[in-house]
Amino acid sequence: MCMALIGGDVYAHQFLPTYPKFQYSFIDGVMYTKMQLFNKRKEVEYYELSVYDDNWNKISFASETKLIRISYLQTKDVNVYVKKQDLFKVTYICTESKHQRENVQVAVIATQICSKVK
Amino acid sequence: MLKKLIVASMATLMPMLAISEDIPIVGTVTSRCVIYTETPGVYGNPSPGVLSTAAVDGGVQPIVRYDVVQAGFYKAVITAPNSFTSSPALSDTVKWTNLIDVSRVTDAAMSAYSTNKRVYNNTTEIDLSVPGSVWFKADSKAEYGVNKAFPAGTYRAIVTAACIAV
Repeated sequence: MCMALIGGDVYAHQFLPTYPKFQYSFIDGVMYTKMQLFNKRKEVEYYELSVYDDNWNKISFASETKLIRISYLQTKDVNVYVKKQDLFKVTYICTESKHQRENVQVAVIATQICSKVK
Repeated sequence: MLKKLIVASMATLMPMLAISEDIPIVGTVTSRCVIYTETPGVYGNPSPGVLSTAAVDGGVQPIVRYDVVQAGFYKAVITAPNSFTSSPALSDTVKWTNLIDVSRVTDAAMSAYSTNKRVYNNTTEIDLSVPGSVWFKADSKAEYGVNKAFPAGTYRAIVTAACIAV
């Protein structure tokens, strides 16, 4: 109720699920998981997808696109493909808002949401 | 006789057909952590060599809101700027002073976030251990050289607000 009462121009970023599970893909030796991104930030059109290990080192992965273009209030499903031999290292799958230089205000807020593979 | 039998069997079957009607169950999974960017910050320029988001310096503090549906699933990681993402050419060093703190809470228990936060470098980590909404403010101050004036132009910096599953 409290959330519903809050007004004003507020913009949000959501990324689901919190704890993704990988499954076999149609490619031998490659696992995948389906993530869902929701963009409620009017001023943001791009989100970068990243995969990290538990020390925040980047892990190579494949996806339809690593820089996701998504409109305001749009929901997008994103498949993340990882080599089976790398799966034990995968800890975080994150999306981070990317801001175009001409649209950036003086001190902008970038948002990042990371799901954890357990 | 046969007619009566057909009518009787139909009468018995009709309620069975009604019973086998499908009842849909609909569920929606929503994110347990949502980040709202409430106020983008603005740097004030109270003196030639200082840029600051503090209201007393003519700036606007960036404010970010975290909505947590269930406790213990996420931590907030907020990184204040330690460089400009774009600025005029600078020939001297910039000294950065940042402070991330709780601005507003919807549950009194969240006031513990101020004391339990972990600060390292220019990053602040807070375990989101109470469900509800919490607002964080970021104070950012940049001082140029030793009593030097910032060159004229537009200065941009980024505060990164992250929600990391634990």
